Parts: sequence; C-alpha cells; structure tokens
Amino acid sequence: MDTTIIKKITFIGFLIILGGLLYYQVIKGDYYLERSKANYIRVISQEAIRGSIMDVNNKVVAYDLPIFDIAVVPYQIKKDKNAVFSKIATLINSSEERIRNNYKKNIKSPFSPVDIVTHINKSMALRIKDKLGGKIIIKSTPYRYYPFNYEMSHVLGYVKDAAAFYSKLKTYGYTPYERAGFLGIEQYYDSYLKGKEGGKLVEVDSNGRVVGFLGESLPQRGKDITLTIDSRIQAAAYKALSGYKGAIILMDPYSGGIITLCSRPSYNVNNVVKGIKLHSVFSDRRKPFINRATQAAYPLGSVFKPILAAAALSEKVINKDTTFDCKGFFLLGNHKFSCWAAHGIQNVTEAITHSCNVYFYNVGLKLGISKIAKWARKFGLGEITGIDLPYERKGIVPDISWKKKYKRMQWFAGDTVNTSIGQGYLRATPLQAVIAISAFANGGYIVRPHILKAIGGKDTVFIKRSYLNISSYNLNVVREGLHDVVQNDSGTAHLLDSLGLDIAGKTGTAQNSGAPHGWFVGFFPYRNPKYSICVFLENAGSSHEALKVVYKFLVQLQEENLISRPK
Amino acid sequence: MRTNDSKILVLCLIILNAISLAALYSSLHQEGEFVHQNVFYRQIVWIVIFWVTMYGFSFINYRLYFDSSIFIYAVSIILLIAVKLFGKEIMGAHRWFSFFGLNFQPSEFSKLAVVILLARIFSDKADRRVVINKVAIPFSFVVLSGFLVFRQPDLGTASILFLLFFMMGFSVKSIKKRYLAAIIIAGIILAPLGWHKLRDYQKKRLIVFINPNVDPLGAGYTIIQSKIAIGSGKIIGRGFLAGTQNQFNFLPERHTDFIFTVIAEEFGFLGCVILLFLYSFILRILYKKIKQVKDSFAQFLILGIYSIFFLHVFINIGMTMGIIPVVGLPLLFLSYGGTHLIITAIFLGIFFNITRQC
Repeated sequence: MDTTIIKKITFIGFLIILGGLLYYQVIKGDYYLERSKANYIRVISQEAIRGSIMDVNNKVVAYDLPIFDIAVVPYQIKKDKNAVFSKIATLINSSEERIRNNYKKNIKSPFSPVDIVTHINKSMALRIKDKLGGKIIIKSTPYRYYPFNYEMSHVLGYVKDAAAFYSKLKTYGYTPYERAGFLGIEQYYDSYLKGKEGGKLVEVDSNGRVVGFLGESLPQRGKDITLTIDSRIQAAAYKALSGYKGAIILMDPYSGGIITLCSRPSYNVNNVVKGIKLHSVFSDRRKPFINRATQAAYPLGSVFKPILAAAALSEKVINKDTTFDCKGFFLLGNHKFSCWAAHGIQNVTEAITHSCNVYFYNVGLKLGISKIAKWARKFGLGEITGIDLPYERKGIVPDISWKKKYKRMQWFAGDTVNTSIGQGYLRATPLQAVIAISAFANGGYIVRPHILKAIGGKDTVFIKRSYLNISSYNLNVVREGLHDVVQNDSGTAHLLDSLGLDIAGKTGTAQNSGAPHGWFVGFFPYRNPKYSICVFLENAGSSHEALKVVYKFLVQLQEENLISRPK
Repeated sequence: MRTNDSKILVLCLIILNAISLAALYSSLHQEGEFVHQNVFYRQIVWIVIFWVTMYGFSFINYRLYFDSSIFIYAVSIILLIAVKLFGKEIMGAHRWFSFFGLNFQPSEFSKLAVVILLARIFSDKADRRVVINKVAIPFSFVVLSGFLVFRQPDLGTASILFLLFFMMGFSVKSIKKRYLAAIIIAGIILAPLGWHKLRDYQKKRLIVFINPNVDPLGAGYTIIQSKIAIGSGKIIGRGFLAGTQNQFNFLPERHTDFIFTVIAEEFGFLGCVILLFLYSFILRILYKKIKQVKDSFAQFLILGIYSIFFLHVFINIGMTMGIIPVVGLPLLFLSYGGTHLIITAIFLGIFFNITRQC
C-alpha cells in the first residue's frame, strides 16, 4: 500500500485552506470588516429643517413642508418584489415600470433602504403603509415650498439636493444627500438657512429592523431670514409686467433696502424643486431663468443723461446757465447725430426735462471720455452693486483702453458722442440704474442695495456708502430737471404727474439690435424721497411702454394702499 | 504509544464536541436572544448518542465487515432507492427517512457501505486482471451509489463518494495510476453532459461559484455573506456571541453547513488555525495507524475513513470560502445533524476496534 499520495493531497488541501484563511482574514480582513459593518451599521440621516424666509411684513415666502418617500429593503422583499411593486403602482396610480426603474437606479446594497416612490403626501403614505405594512419603509423628509409660484422666483432661488453639484459643493462641507440653495437668497444665505444635518447611528439585522442604537446627533434647524421685500408690492410688480420682458425695482434710496425686485418672464419655482417640466423652462427662448434686474446689462439710453449732467456740473465744464442750441441734429465732421426733436436753446435743466440729445452730445464732447467713464464708475456703473444675490453682472463702462482691449480699435469722438446719451458700448443692469438715480434722491451717495433685513430675528446693518462729492447746488440743478420731467407739461414723463405722487425721474429709449428697450428711473416723493424706482422693458419699443407700466404699477399700489400720496 | 494516541484522539473529539456546542449556541442567538433552543439540546443528545455508538462499535470485530461488505452495500442501495420512493421531502430533496421524529439520511450510510466495500476489494492480494477486478468493478459500484445519491439530489455526498474512490484507488500499489487518470479525464470530458441533469438551484450554485455577484440576493448571497463573515473575523475574531454577520442574521444555514463561518467570524484566524490543528491531529493519528496495522483490510478501512474525514473538512471549509462550489455538506463533528454524527461515530468505532485488535 502506497500512501504518499494521500499525504500529499492532505498537505496541499490544508495548505489551500490555510492560504484562503490567511487571504480573507489577515490580508483582506479590514476590507471584509468594513463590508460587515456596512451590513449592520446604518446611518439614518435626519435632515435639518431649513430656515423659513419671510417678507418685510413677516409673511412667509419660503418654508419646509414634510413630504413622504417610500423605500424598501431589497433583501427583505427579494421574494415578493414584483407583488410589492405592482401593489404600490396601483395605489399611487403609477406604472410598475417606473417603480422598478427607481429601484434599479437607487439600489446600493441588499440591506440599505432603496427609495422607490418619492414626493407623496401624508394620507397617501399612510394608505400605502396600511396596505403593505412591514414590507416598506415610510420616510418623511422636508422639502421646500414657495407660496408664490412665479412672483419671487428670481429673488428667492430654490432648494435642491446637492448631489448633482456635489463635486463643487463638497469643499464647502456639504454631504451629497443634503439640500443646498441654488440662485437667489436661498443660495446667497445658504449657510444660515440650511442648519445642521443630524442623524442616528443604528444597528440593523438582515430584515432592516433596528436592533441596536449607537448614537445620535440632533439636527439643528436653520435660521429664519427676513427680507426687505414686500411680497404684496412684488406681486403687483409681477402683474404690471404682464406681457413684457423686463424688470421692476423699488428701493429705499437711503438704506438700499430692496422693496421689490421683480423680473419677468419667470419660472414656476415649485416645479423646479420637484424637478417637473424643467425642459420647457430651460428651452424657453425668453430665458425665464435670467434675473433681468441684476443678471443682464443693457444700454441705458437717456437714463444716463442725469449722470452726465451731474458729472459736467461737478467738473465745471458747464454751469446751471450753460446753453446749447438744438436744431434737431448734431454734426461731428461729416457725421450727423440726431435728436428726436428740434428743442432750440436749452439749459441743463431743460435738456433733462426734454431729454435733448444735442445738449448732451455737446456736454459729452466737452467732458471727454475719460471723465465720462470716471463719473459713470463713481455712480456705480461697470462694477457690481454688491446686492445679496448671486451671479450679478457688472455691465460695461467703455473708455479708450477698454475699446483697445476688447474691440482692438481706437476711440473716436463719435464713440464719446454715443456714450453721452447712454448708447454705444455702455451697458448697465436695471439695478445699477436705480442705484445711480437714488444718488439724486438721497443727497449724493451710492448705496449698497440689499434684500436681507434680519437673520434669526436680528436686524442686520449694511452701511457701505460711497459719496459722490457733488455739491448740493449742482445736485439740485439735476434734481429740478428730473422733477420737471414729470411736473412740466413738456416733460417726457408728464403722464405720471396725474398719480399725485410727486415723482421725479428720467425716461429712456435705448437703441439696440432689436426693438428699443424702454426705461424709466426715478424717485418719489420729490421733496422727501421714500422710494426709488426702475422699470425696464426689454425690446418694448420705447420709453412710453415703460411709463405705462410705471403708471399701472403705481396705480395698483395706491389702490391697495401700499403707498400713500405725500401731504 | 498506542494507548497514548487513542487518548489524544478522544481528547480531540471532546474539544471538537465543545467547539460544536459553542458555535451552535452562538449561531442560535439572534440579537442577543437564544432562539431555537431545542436545536441546541438535541445536539447534546446527538453527542451522547455519538459517544455511545462509538463505544459500542469499538466492540464489533472489524473483520465482520469484510464478510458482510456485499450485504451492507446491498442494504445501502436498497435504502437509497427506498428513500427516493418513500422518503420525506424536505426543500425539494428526497434525502430523509423519518423515525419517531428523527431524520435519517441513507446517503450518509452509503459512505460507510462504499468505504467497507472498497476496503475489501482493494485489500485483495490477487494481482490478476487488475483493471477489471480493482478498477472497473469497484468503480461501477461507486457509480451506482453515486448516481443514486446524486439523483436525491445530494451533490456533496455524491462527489465525496467519487473522490473517495480515487483517494483509496491511488493508494493501491497494483493499480496503475494511468487507469485512474483515464477515468478522471473521461469524467471531465463527460461532465458537461451531466449539466442538464442538475437541478436549477445546483446550476445557479455553480454559476455563482464562478461569479457570486451575478445574483447577489439569490444564489450568490450565501457565498458573499459567508466570505464577509470569515474575513471580518480578522486575526482574533469579533468575540464569542459578538459576530454581527451571525447575530444579526445575515448568514443563512449557519448552524448546519455554514457553521465554520460562525467560528471564523467570532474566533478569527487563530481560532480557525486551532480547529485545523485538531483536524490534522485526528488525521495524523489515523495515518499513523495505517502504517502500524498489518492487516491490509484494516489498512484500507482506515484509509477510507481518513479520506472521508479529510474530504468533509476540505470541501466544507473550501465552499464557505468560495474555493469550492456550494454543494451542501456538513462540517466534520461540528455541524448540527444526527445522521452525520452517528456515521462518523461508526467510522471511529471501527477505528477503535482496529486499534484494539492490532
């Protein structure tokens, strides 16, 4: 009998087993320990309730609502998966296919819950729980709700899972399943609003039942935020813009507190949160996602004239009584720059009142582009205003070096002429326009605009002001012109006089490649300004359309007693 | 010397009984609660029967098996056919006879019958017509038993019967190795023909052996979770009653075929090595005895027992680690189950009788 082969087989057999044990337990031990932990240790995250957002009258304009998701544990339903899916499908009136796809998409491991249905209300969740009992898990998660579907979308932004933008957000300490604010106040003040996620660390068995408790950190509610916005006025502005593309801004000229900042067309913010009908919003050629008040810069047109007047007066290029004769056109070499009427002899106040181009062509040429650009920047153009909204545009203040750099051309006198009436390369956002005009209301400083009034009930203070150092005498010369625009029978905005609000302001019709933009900027009441206003209408045809919108808007505010006539 | 080895063997058995009860005790706990206590107490009874059986069989002269080997084999075949016809069906398989609430598995008995029959044939001194007498005839017997067991279906025991034939056959001096090699090669070539004879769950087990992730919630589940349990034990283990794979019910079949994972998870690499040492001690004692005894029949009997023991350990532990497909086979001395323990006791009883006589 020869047993050596048996000896060899035994030896090899034991060696294989020993090798296997060495591999699994010693070499890969940590890996399998992790996988074992992944089996039985589960983090049940508890999302923090996000802070609410209130308007200036403490009306809630954004808050968290509980909604319900249905999840299953794959291992637990492995035998009757199809039955469970079809039952749920009939209960929520959805297709079994969709549930199955969600299941496939979200499955991570046999033991961690998989979301199969999301966004259902409480009564539906309870009905499903009643029918399916222990086979499903009902999860309650907060989701953002906005009482105004369209009116405040650009101001507030929205809240979504951070997952899609996780790679960008993780450096700021976000977790992939956390929600984050996108656009608007929700993004700008996200760190205050979001609070702190909590969670429970538990042990579970193979059926997903919690069998042990390891620890818990409670979620911390985010801070509430109060805005300077009045949602009633905001709604009126949205209504007044009906049929136009454009923006309305109403602001306190002294503090920079924004009372209304409305852009139209808008998008249904609640649909965006739920992720429905997104395609139609993104493919809309009117670009509803753009906040036209801050995220787009346009030629200012005649709205630029008061700025130029103030600059020329301060630089002593002209004085109150300097006159130019308007024959309806202006000749620069062979080129003819037109005015919209032959105004005759005009002083600066009259030129503002009548929006005389020829007057400002002359002034602009006397001042020169460097000084025009310097004063435009002093008035806040070409720089962001610093409003508490993300992605603000800074516009363009052109000068010699700008043209060289971006257009690779030299500066011509004609460029100066064009810039003098707010055309040419000059671009500004409606917000910049209202900040600039506010300087004539508040006695000569550029205010930093803001939407935030208070965080967690504590008022915040924005004190950044930059003074223009324009003498009150010169300031009043321009103010009178602005007042006459409305008061004087021949003023371009005389239509608004009948409102009885004692408005001062300036109209503008800005030429561009399409139909002209319509502008109106101003402030009221003239003697003791409480509001500055900007109405901007993209491609509306002329400033007259803007005046109609201003009229409609202010009439409604008066009807609703939101503003009162000065005594 | 002789008595010393027997004492060591008995000591090893006592330790293995203790390990078996400890592992079983732990595996019957769920979330700190002792469930299915009756299984635990039944195993104690089985262990008592184990010792009684072993003691009893140690008094039966092993030469009796030589004379009755054909008869024993015939009985085993009849039992296998009978269980197919009248046996109790558990989980789709006809493997069990039920007496007074105790289940008896004829396939376990067939291992004993085949060992005795092969020992008789291989120990025959005649060297004439080796191919027929020592290869073709014994292989036919093995094929008959193996086929019946395979059809129960009990893939584990069937494969043990075939491997037993080769392990014993390779030790016979007069059999040329190439005959056996030829059978093995022929078997490998013909194996695909047997594929459609397999049950669906057996096919799945073979597929997931190659890649467990094909079906992580179904057939692959056991092997994935078993590997996690073994690996997570690391060097010193998670501690008695502290294995989470075990305690939180992530492992199926852990008190029977997968009892090794409980030991590996809770006692780690060191615990496993100690267990392997115990097995190797026992095998070593058997091996030494083969060299000591003069009677060729006794030698082959011990060799058969040795092979059965080795194959049970190797295949069972191998399958929990995913080295071998999951075939369903108890772990020697440790798994819960009566028939397996009693047959093992009979094997050891025979061994002790040989020790007594020689």
